[in-house]
Amino acid sequence: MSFEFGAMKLGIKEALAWKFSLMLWIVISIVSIGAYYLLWSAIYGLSGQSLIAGYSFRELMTYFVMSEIVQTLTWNNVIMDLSQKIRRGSLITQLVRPVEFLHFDFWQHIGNRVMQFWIYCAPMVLVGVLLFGLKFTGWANLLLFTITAVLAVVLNFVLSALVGLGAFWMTEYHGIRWVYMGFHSIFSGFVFPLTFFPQFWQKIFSFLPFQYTIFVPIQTYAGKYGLLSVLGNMLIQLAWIIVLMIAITLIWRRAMKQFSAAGG
Amino acid sequence: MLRWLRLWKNWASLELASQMAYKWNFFLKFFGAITFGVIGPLIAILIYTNSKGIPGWSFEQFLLLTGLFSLASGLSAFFSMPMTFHTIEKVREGDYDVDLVRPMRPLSYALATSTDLDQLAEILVGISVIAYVMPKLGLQLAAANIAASLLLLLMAVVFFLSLNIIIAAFAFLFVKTYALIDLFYEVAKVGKNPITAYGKTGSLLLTYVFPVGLAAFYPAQALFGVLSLAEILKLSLIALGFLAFAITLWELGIRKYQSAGG
Repeated sequence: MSFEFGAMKLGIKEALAWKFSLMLWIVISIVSIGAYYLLWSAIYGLSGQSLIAGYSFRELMTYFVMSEIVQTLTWNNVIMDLSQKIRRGSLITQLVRPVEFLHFDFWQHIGNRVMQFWIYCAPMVLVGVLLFGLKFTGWANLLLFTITAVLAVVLNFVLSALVGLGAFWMTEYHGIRWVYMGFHSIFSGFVFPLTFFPQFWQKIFSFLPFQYTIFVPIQTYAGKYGLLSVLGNMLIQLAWIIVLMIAITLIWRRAMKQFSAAGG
Repeated sequence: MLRWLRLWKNWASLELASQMAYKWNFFLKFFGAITFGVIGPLIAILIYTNSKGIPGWSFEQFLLLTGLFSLASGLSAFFSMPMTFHTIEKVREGDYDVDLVRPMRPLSYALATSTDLDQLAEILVGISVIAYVMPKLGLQLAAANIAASLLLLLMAVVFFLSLNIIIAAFAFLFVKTYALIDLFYEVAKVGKNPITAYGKTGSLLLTYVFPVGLAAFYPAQALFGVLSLAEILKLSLIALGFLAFAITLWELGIRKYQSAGG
């Protein structure tokens, strides 16, 4: 476990190096959610509907605040990091270490996220409550949300790592990253709650892993699911994590057989 | 000017050649950028299929805003976005001295060597949305309205260009300024929506202080024929004033620049 703690400490130091940027992100989020706040108050005012796509105005604002928080918690730089190390050949220095590269990267990432939680997410909750009416939905929902959010962090990490492994076969990898990020921001529910989409699309999203990284944790916090559904979603998250980890192991083995570093 | 154009053309050709070295990557990036580009129109669709929409704005009018915003920000980023990143990176590394001794004004050189082909996707999204929505708006298009809208669209490009210059200028003053790109562009995103939705104070701020209303709202208003000539001139002056402020900040930054190496 000391190795994992060491990696986490490195991640914490990494996050601290960017603390001012993270604090600036609080301002960015306030602007972003503030614009939504004004826009949606006009929309709710005009429509006279108390619920739009199943959300009251306050619930929608809670969604937007939580999507910023969950996005920050689950975000990672694995695709970029992995592709750069492969392209520049510096992966070789990681491979000769007596620890598995992705294992180390994962714990470093966890340390980074823990720090991000304190620098960005905790103040953001306060901002959400004071400025945008972030709703507290109860301790039980908070507990269930915490579990799904942790699973979402792991799921997004393995998902990104799997995409990043493609860099073993492509010299330039920005394109794949862009496509992935574009799809992820729409399909995960980061841009908009997925309930705004037609039923057909919601059905398609449910077969993909993306919504379990942002939308499902937020809906869990909002108390939109019954206990059985929440447990079912957790099992689906776990199943996705296992499937993706198996895929990563297989692809990694295959990649190692043909990997040749050009630098180092 | 001819010398600048020649340099820009040569640099753009080099950029194209370097992108074509990895064709698949270029096309994937293009596809990825299209995915990001459709988020604006998608939001419009989702808002209007689930509610009555934004007061005073039909679906088509709102869609026009997203198209105009994409076109203006895409065009500006095509010509000036790399300049911002290059400047920040060079200042951070202490390498900007090289650009100061070139036989061209630093800002002119920075803009001549700044072409971002990735922005073609955003431009394409903007043009496609405008082309799709224009016939549906049922506007009686007068030549004067089209000219006014094009003029304000140009001013929208000037606004975004000024924004990129300001961010780059901050690099000379504060060195680590990558986060400012996100901050400014996040604020600029509010220009995708009708600025009237932000209330009277919001509208005034977004017209006179941080004139992001120029990005889409005012070009659309000009097309609808609701702006007077005096208003169009006033808005053009605001955009040019913003550019003058950006250039002044840049010049101030250059004077403050301290090399870390070279």
